[in-house]
Amino acid sequence: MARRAAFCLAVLAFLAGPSASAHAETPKPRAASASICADKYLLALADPEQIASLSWQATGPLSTFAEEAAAYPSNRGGAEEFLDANVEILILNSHGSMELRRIMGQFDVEMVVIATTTITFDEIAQSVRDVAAKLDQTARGEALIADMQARLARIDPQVVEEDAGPSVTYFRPEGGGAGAGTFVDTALRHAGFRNLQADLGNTGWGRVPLEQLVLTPPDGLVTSFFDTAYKGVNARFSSHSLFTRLSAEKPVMPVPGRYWTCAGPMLIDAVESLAAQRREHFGGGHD
Amino acid sequence: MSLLEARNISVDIGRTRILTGVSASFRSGYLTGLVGPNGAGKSTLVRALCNLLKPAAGEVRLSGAPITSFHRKELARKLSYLPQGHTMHWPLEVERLVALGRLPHLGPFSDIGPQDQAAIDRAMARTEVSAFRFRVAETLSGGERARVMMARALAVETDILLVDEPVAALDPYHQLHVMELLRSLADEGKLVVCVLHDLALAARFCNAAVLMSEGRVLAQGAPQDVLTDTHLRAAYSIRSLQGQHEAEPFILPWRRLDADASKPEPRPC
Amino acid sequence: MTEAATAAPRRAAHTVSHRISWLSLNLALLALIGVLACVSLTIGYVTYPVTDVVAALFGLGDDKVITIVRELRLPRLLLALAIGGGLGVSGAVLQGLLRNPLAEPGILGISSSASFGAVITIYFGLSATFVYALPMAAMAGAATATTVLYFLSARNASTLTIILAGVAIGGLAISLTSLAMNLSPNPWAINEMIFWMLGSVKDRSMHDVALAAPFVLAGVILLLLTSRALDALTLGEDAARSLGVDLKRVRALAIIGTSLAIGGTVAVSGGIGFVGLVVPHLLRPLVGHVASLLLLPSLLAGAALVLAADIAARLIRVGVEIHLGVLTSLIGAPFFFYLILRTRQRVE
Repeated sequence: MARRAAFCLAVLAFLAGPSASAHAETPKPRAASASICADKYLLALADPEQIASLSWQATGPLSTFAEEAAAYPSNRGGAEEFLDANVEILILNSHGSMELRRIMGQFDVEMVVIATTTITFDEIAQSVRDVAAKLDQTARGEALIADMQARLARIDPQVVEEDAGPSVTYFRPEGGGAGAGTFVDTALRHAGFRNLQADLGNTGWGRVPLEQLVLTPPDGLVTSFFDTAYKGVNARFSSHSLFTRLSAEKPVMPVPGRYWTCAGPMLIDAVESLAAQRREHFGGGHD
Repeated sequence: MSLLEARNISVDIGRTRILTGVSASFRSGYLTGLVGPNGAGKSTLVRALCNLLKPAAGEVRLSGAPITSFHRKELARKLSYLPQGHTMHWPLEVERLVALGRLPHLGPFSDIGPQDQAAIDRAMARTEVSAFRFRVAETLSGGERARVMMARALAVETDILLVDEPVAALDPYHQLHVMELLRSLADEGKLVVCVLHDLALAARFCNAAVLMSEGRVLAQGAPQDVLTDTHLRAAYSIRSLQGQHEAEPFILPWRRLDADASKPEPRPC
Repeated sequence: MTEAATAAPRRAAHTVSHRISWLSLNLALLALIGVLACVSLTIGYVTYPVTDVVAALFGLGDDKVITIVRELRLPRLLLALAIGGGLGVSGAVLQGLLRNPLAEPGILGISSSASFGAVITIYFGLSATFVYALPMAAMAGAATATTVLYFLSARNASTLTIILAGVAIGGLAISLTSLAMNLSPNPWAINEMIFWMLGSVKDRSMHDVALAAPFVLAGVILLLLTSRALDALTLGEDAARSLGVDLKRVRALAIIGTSLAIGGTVAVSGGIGFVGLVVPHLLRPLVGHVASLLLLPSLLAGAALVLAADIAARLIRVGVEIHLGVLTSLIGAPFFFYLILRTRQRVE
């Protein structure tokens, strides 16, 4: 409710922009982000002067923008840091740092929460709009959304519409997967694959039992996080004989884990990577 | 003058009936020896007398009033109990252990006062443990520990003292010492009940006795009337050797019954 | 006679010296807490000079610093002290009541039940929507466990039964918590549950302190009331009862006191353990193994220990912040092993 109201106000402000700018130029709000997911939004949308700090994960192995992030101060997610830096807007996830959300509500800091239930590109676009509005960067937000949609359109629209692409199953090192209702599923479908797990009626982040894969093997395997996971976790599932046999027989298409730590604007990178690998292994498609 | 009576009490522990229709009375000025074979119910009777158990039937009376009518703390100032086993969960200093006996006399926020300290000193002197008052009780021998526990029971300075097998771990010197101590307490007018296994000590030092067997009282009264050969045969299935030395009686368990019948009868000295 | 006379002056001095050393132990612990409190207020995520911090404490200086010191660092400090104090004294009381140096507040299953209540609110998403949902659910969990234990002890159950009941309750709470994690469709929710259960006082507000403090205070008062009875229990339950101890009342005080103290802190900070085990055990020789003398020092030392651990949590900078509960376990678990070895040696 409040977000809608703010959005409307932002649109009005945008429309009234030219006349407003004739008066004093109000500085854009200072913002910080408390998680890797929020970092991406902030970097993509804010002016450099607006960014007070990024989370410590922004320069870590899960980041696709580590070099860019190195230029900014990094925070440990402590309320003190945000207060000390006079942050007005704090971007964070709906899950994790429950206490941070609770306590920041007492100070004059506005919080923008990115839902972890964001799944489709439309929902991502809405997220981008919300954050952009708060950051007073609606123009940049729309530009980002337009860019995302353009890149999506370039990926074999016909294949995607026909929904007749090769079927794949998604694997994480500990054996997890992605069924319907996840952003991985969204990415797979936009890249022209069929998600076997979703077709089997699975929803959420669980896994298809290996037995099922024997009965209805996928055309290919999509893996992720195998490069950043600890060796121990890696070995247990990935050394399973069925999995090794499957990965020997079918094409394995790895996607760097950092492309999709959450549903954000960088999901398009994952889609592009998947589409390229689809063309490589399964050929065809119109460009 | 106190009178502690068990009136026809029956006690169950779990599903087992331990005491059946036990009536016994204990008076001030007497050291009453409570004797009987293992499993006779002696310790159970003592616990019932201290109001640590609720009888299934009958009641325990203290000076005519039901023992349950006394408030916990009031009863603690009238009656002191020394259980078997000399349990000590933490290795306290001897003096602190004995000082625990003063708890019934302390108010909620008060600490040991000069009167309490005097009582502690008296108790330690009487049991001859003053020499190691600062030692940690764990480092003492079994006998020394038993005396420290006795001191703790004495420190309460009650009119009634119930002790359960106080001499089990003691050497002969200290066995005699403790029995003399208990008898002198009785002579001073206290009511002392002592569970014993040693018939000789019971015969020599007690001026009243209660003989139990299988949850019932076989006999009670003066020791010479209770600890007769007939009674001891019935209770213990033993034959005893009884006699006198320097006007004091002695009783020795002599032979088990159903043993070789050809062995000669013991000859009185 | 002569022995008593010569012993008298020695005894009096010794008794007085016992008092002095107990007093000085407590004063030393208070001083330690004072020092740690100063350190705790001074370090954090942003560095300010000590003078600024002190000024801010009294409401002078930069508004920003005042806010940070009073609204963030001060509640963190107070909560750490409350948690440590509650755990310390509760551990001392339980070890005295159960006559076992391996007893600690967790054994009664109360912190596990409180954790379960909290996890349920995370599972259903209530913790995000309603701010007080989680603390209230945690206290409800603690209260349920307490009620069961209380009724058991009131019916004169033996000490062993109470311990076993506590273990059973704790086991049930843990399995239900695992079930909630298993069934949770959202991996982020699971992460949140786990991180909450690891225990932390980061980013807590004065509201959290106001929520937890009354419970901890009430719990500590109830626990301190058991001190005399704990001394008597050194001699075993029968002898203690004959000395006028009301065993039912002592058990009730211990159980309810522990629940209030633990429930109040778990509700705002998650699970923090081992303090109740380690602290009384360390201090016991210093008070001559007297149970009643152990309570206040355990409270103070527990507070100091948790505060020190929280300071360490802030100083250790290896990416993710190490949770307070993790640090106390890292200290406590090896100590637990050492305890077991020592107890075994003594038994042999």
